[in-house]
Amino acid sequence: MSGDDLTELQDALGYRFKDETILRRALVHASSRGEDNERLEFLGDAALGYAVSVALYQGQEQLAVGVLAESKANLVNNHRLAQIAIDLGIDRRMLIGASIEGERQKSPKICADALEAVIGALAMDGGIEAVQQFVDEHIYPLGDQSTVIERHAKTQLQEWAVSKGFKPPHYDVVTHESDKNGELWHVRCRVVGVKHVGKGAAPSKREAERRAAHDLLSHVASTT
Amino acid sequence: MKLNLYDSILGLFRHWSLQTRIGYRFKDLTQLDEALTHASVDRVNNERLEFLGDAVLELVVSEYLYRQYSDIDEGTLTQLKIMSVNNVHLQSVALNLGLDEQLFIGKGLYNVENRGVKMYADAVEALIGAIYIDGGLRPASKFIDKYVIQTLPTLEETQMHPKTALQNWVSKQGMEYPEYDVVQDPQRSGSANWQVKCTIKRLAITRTASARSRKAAETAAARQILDSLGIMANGA
Repeated sequence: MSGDDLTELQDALGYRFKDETILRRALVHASSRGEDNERLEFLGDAALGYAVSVALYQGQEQLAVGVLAESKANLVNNHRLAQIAIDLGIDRRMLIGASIEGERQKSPKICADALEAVIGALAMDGGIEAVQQFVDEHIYPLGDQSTVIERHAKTQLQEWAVSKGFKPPHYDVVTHESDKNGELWHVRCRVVGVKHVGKGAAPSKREAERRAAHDLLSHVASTT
Repeated sequence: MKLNLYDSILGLFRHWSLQTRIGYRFKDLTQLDEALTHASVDRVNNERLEFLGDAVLELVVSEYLYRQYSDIDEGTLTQLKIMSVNNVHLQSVALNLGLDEQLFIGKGLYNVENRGVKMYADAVEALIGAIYIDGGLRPASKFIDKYVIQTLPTLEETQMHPKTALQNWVSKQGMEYPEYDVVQDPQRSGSANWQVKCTIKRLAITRTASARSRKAAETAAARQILDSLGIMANGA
């Protein structure tokens, strides 16, 4: 790989390595000869898990533990990491042994592992702060934290209700309009024993329910 | 919550002695209390801190292993990591720190029999999370190094004879040596094999194994205990 290529990659990563050999090593798949990226991947996996966990824990909303774990799993699943690796141009720059050359497009695992190895290289070269910055820029926001949370608003509300000894929440459709512009659902969400009624409107019933759950959750969060 | 003077003094002493053992002074003691509140308590409990502490522990252990063993492959690194975050290992860290006497637990768990290994392991992870939130990565790493990493067998020790490896491990945890008791003696019972029971009292772990000689049965029993501790041993 040329030096220019390595510079381009560092631009994409948003980090300039003090020692480029470690970045090169992160791009060497185990099928190649010489020192490969597996040890860096070992380190990167833990560094990634740490940075994502801290970001989720310290996020604006105090998420329940089930939501934390689920969001983490969503953020670091292999398919998502592979996509990020491809977007950053990591896959194109990998050194792969002849035996699996040509298959790299097909294996999300190889791409995801290479991304983890690059994160390991970041940890070695710039410390855990460099990893956290990278994760804040490339891993955490792409996961669209709000959708992760939104998707789980119903789960979270359910957990909250049960933990307070209430019955599970129930949802009612208030109105459902449909015309040539599309659909609009209005949904109400109640927990027996809680005064506030959650309200949500969206083009789909599911989304309207999520929003209603979110509304109720943010209300109880601000009053308790 | 209403506290009388006796409770406050008791609370002060409890916090003081525990922090001395941990080797860290909390700026915010509510973090420490949260870490010591088991999930069976239905208000704020240690589950979120455990989530965080688990990730901090993995990072610190992985980085240590990566730097310490520059020439071992990823597979061995992973095995060593699994060993260090093993629940029984973490349980022994908890007992070593006396966390078992400090945990707030829900009513269903007052009976000691119901308390599992995981409860203590979770408390250690939550404690790591609490130190991290209160003081950052540096004191959390220091705690992990002292209590989780230094109490593990070294790579060399894992190559030792199982009985030696087990003895080294328990002494690093500040526990009594394992006890070996003969359950079946061929000279008395007329059976072909020796049967030996190995016990670590503090962890309430017992494993029994049989073999043609007493020594081999002891070795097999020790190896079984190492297995349940997630510790690699010679030939295991």
